[in-house]
Amino acid sequence: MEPRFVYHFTGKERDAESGNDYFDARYYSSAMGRFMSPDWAAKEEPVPYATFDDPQSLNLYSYVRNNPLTRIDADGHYDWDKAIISLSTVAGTLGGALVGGTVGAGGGTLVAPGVGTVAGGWEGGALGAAGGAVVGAGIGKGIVSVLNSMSSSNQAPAPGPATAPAPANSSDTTNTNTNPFTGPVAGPVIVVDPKGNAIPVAGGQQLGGSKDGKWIQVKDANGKPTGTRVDGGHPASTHPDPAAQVPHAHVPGQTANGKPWLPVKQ
Amino acid sequence: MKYDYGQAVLCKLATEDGIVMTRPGSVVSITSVNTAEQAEAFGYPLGTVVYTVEFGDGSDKSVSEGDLDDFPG
Repeated sequence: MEPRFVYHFTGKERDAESGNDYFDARYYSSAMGRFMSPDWAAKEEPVPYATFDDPQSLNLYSYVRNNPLTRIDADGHYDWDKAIISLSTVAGTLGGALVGGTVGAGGGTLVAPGVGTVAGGWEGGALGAAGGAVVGAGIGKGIVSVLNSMSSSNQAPAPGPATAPAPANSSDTTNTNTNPFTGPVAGPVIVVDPKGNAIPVAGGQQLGGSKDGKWIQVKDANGKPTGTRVDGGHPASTHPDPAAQVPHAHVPGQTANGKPWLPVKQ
Repeated sequence: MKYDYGQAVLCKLATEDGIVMTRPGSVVSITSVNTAEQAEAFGYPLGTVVYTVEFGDGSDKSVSEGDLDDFPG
């Protein structure tokens, strides 16, 4: 039986019955390319989040002012200051990568754009996909500047052994870590690799992997793999299926054409 | 670490009747057991390097380095 919800556009859950994506404040229809209800704000306003210098902001049904290549929506409200955040991968190496991100106002998810587009995402699975992309190549200057400023204050770990970092103390309520490569994160983050593939990391989870970034695993607080991972491709000697020999993703319970090797952007 | 990501290995698996067989697979995850919590979670003593090996059907298993052999050829 198909699950009621699977993760689709920018990591949001899709309602299997309606086909709409749940963005916390509203539902989004990827088929129609718009929200199903107008944007709203806690404080009553005639046109919430509108700005006089951007006519697109007057359309309360549009997704990120009809500019999904450079902007993302965290919670169903278009509020730039709240919506964006986080880091992206840099240089494409795990050891030197800046990754992760923090969470939008909705307490949910947010995608940090990497370099490149996501034409297909993780088919049938975790993120991306849904007729589109997580985020695209044409990263707007706004986001880039945010990313750069964030990167200066949240440096990635120095290259080192590709083993799990020491787990954080579960009773430590001061955990504010947003970089899953340095240990369990305080809240959910989504990491986007240089190809644009999005990797969801829940609060308390962390990432491990190879130094070249081709192999990335989501691990629990103790470093135990959860089964969600990106594989760089297996040798033909052990994996005769061609789909397994190229980079792919795994998400427990998810298959593509009946196979566990989920296509990724390469 | 003796093995690296993506490397072909032979994974030793014990059947219920104690027979040890090997199954070819590829390394997809490497973790060092550095804390008591990890030791409990993995079921291996401190200092163990645990490899997750994916088999040709997509299933996987986490084993210690001692449960892996070099893939022939």
